[in-house]
Amino acid sequence: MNHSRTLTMLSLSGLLLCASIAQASTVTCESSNGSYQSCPADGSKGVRLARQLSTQGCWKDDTWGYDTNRIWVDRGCRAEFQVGAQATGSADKGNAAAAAAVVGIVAAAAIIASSHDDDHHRNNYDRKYDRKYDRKYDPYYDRTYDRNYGRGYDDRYSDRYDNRYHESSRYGYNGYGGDPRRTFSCESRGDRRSYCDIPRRGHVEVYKQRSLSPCTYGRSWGVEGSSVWVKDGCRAEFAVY
Amino acid sequence: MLAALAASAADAPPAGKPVDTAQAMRDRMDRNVDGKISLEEYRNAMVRRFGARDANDDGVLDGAEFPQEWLAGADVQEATGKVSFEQFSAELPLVFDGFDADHDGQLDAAETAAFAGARKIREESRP
Repeated sequence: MNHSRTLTMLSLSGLLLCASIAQASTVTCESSNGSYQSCPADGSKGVRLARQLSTQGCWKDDTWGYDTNRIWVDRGCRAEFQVGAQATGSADKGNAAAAAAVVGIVAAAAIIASSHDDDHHRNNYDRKYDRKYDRKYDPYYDRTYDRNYGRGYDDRYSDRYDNRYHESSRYGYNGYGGDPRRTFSCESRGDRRSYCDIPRRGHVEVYKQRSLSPCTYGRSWGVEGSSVWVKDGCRAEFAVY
Repeated sequence: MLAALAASAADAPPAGKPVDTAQAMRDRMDRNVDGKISLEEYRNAMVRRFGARDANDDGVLDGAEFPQEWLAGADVQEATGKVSFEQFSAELPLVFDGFDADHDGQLDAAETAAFAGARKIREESRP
């Protein structure tokens, strides 16, 4: 008797759990190795990015999006998405130390940026970095990379939290406060593709969109080997991380 | 470890040059160049900054990665000295909302200035 009551209660609590999941569920979707990934989800009541897990960018309608039955991510975006009913008012009370870290990082990064903000410093930095990079890290990088892909622009090696490759640490030079290692501009003329050289290895993202026309990955901009292409009026400054 | 030390040395302000934190935030974060910082722009930049700060790549800011003076004026009873990526990313929207005075999902010039000045104010409010 006792036994069956326990069973009933167990199945009831199971039902309750299911009900709350149906209301609002969380889906983790991950673009590994920088490639497109879609994850089954009911997007009919909306989807919200709840937590970004990748340092590589998650930009709505560019590197992530959704429709009625899927969430998709691209170019290294990895995140937890909240599907369906929006949570009203976060129950999260906050963490004072984490808040201090958020504010502290902003101030520290500004100081770093101001010490690097003229071209002289930036060039010095790049030279120094390139030297170190070429001598120490390139052999391994090229070997692994070329065997697998043949080209020099793999996204796997430039993210910190996606897959935790040990290799990625080598690229996590923290003197720049998470700023790009290099930026470059690319502008489209008409609906044909214009190509621009990527000045150094690394993960490429839109840094500043200068056009009114949207720069949407795979549609109006993309990466092909060592070049970025743009079309349909996309004009942007791109960042290499 | 060496990288962490290099980072804290680089935190020293350059001599005679005032740091405009609000301008630095716009330069770094304002992706669509509209003069305002959206939650999405802020989130992407801040996650990168955490990654850059986390010198030993363990998903936690501690030691030299998390200078204890950042806690000045913060309501922290016992300095834990560390913040995980999970805690940090959960806090990001809360801090943003705290400075988004008109709750339009964007930090305009005045709101960005308030954010940029927050650490200084906290330090000055230290007992």
